[in-house]
Amino acid sequence: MSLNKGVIPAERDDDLFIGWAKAPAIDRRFLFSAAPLLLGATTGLGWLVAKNLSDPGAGKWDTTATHVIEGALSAKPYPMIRVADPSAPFGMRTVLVVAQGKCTSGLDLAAKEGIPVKASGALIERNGRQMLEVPFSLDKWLEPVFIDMPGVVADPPEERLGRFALAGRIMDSKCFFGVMRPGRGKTHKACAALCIRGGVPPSFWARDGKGRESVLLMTDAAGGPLGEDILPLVADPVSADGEIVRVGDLLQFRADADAYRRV
Amino acid sequence: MSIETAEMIWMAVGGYLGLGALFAFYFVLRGVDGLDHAAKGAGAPFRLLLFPGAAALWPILLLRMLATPKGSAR
Amino acid sequence: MGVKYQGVQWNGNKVVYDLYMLVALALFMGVFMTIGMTVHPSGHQADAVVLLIRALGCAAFLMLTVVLTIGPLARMNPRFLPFLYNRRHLGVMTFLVAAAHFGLTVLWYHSSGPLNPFVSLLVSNPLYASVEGFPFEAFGLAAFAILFVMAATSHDFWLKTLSASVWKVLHMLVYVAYGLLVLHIAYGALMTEKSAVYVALVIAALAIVAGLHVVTGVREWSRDSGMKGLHAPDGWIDVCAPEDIPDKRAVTAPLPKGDRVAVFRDGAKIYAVENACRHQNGPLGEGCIKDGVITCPWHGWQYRPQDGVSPPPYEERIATHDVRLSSLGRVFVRVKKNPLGKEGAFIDVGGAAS
Ligand code: FES
Repeated sequence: MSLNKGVIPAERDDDLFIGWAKAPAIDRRFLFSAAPLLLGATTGLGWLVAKNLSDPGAGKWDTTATHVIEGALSAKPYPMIRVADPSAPFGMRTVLVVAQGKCTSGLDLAAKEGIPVKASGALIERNGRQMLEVPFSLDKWLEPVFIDMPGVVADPPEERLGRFALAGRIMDSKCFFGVMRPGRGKTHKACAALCIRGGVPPSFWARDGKGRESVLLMTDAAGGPLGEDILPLVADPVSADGEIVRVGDLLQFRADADAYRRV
Repeated sequence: MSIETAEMIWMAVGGYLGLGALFAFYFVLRGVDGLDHAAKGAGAPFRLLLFPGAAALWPILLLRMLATPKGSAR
Repeated sequence: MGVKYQGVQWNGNKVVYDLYMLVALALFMGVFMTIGMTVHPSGHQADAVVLLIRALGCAAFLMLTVVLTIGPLARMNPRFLPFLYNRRHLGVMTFLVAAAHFGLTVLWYHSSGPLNPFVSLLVSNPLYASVEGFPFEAFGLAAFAILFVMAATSHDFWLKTLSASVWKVLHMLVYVAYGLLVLHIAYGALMTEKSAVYVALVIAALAIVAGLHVVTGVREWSRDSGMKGLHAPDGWIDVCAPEDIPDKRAVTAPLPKGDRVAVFRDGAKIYAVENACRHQNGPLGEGCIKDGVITCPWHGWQYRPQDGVSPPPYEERIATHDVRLSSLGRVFVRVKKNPLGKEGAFIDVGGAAS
């Protein structure tokens, strides 16, 4: 019987790609046109994904220069230095102080409450809110100052502005102010919770219905630092009833952890 | 998940892989030659490539080695 | 294999393959970083480390998507076989990129805090009991563990040591890893970034992978069911007419117990062997006869058609099946395999059946 009926001739055995042999002409032609296509598609995908990333916001973290400030030190409820600034509203600018890394609670400042100091570190800044990042050992960044600092108020009076219901997100101030850009959202949630666990002050990033945003320093209802109960709520959309209190130029949002509701 | 649970999980993983790494040192240098004759005289790149897998799957390899009498490598 | 193991058995095709893979990866990362750093106005620049973490994560997902499309594409069209040939390197590279993503994440998001970074990875995002808040880190970690085991066992030594069936099951876990990665992205990036482009891209990737697998599955199933009812009661099946088999190629047929048989023609001779390659169960029937030996389409392992034994120095063996030419001129294959190494009865259409 004839076997050549309707059968492709024997050169066919050369047109199957076999890895260890030279690629057949038909495959080389195919790959030759496929390669630029694939490389182009890969490049295009990289472009498409990067192009649509959301704006990380206006945060800065300047590790190239040492920033020096002078003012009164306070550790209540979180480490901060109040700098006299006649041009600023309320005549002062409060600079929060955090340690390098995510363990600010290791800064032992209780004994220095209220004293005038000169401090140097890296400046973190977002929309006019400032923070100083300093090394752990106090003698590396903190010098007591013995002359008078005109205009510096160590312990400004509290002004109670009333109770409000706020909706927004709990942020760790350090990353949010500029250390990580973006330092928000679910992918940053764990990092934010870790920072807050380590003593970085939590901020409430509130937005009203008109899209206006404000950033408030979070404390418990009595004005003390918040504990670990707040951690599961970090970075997610939440709302809470609390009291807004102005201390110097800083707004505090005072509410216990159990006042927060997920929305 | 509590911190204690998480620590326990990592301790278990670390212990398993730590034992695995000890076993893997022996396995890639000696043991493999008794298990598979194609490994006899094989070079360093091959042995290096085997290491992570040996550290991860060491109980299986150990059983295989125990079940393979001396000199009967495939 | 009767030859010594090597780390990597390099050859020209693999080098070219790897070069293209690295160039593609470099292009993706380079474009991603450049655009990511410049897309927003100055003062709103993204953090390079966060961008790098994202670029690596995207690259790993893209690479795993490509890995999973190669198999079905190669079954549909032999032009894709070159992509399959060195898929192992693409898989290992996927693991390395995922490892960089993982390492950088632990370093940037979880270290230098009050907790051990690995402990933080499990506890800092704590809503395990929540459906919508579930920590995406856990999904990523599980997928990473699977990719690690797969990459670590990718050398042929493991295929032989673990046995082909165990190895196969282990490497089927790649589908679990892919599912976990989709969840990792859906619960992480897609809940963070607002652009609908990301949702569309993930859905497209999932649809392509699932679609290709469904199409090849259906094709196989309908081809098999077209061959049902060929069973002769005496333990032989009617496969085709001799001229249905292209020279140097095979026709495959399903056997009653679920295996398949590949019936090859080399000139005037017709042989039958089991269809599954000893290496990674590659479909031998989609391969060809090259220099007188059956050659697997996936990685080129070879078997003599007469007895199913690999030509020296190799020692792999597949089983042969007996074939005979029926009085009506049809090719019949005996359902029962011959013992390994035994020559099967073959047909010589130049003369009579042997
Ligand atoms: S499956 Fe790899 S050569 Fe056949």
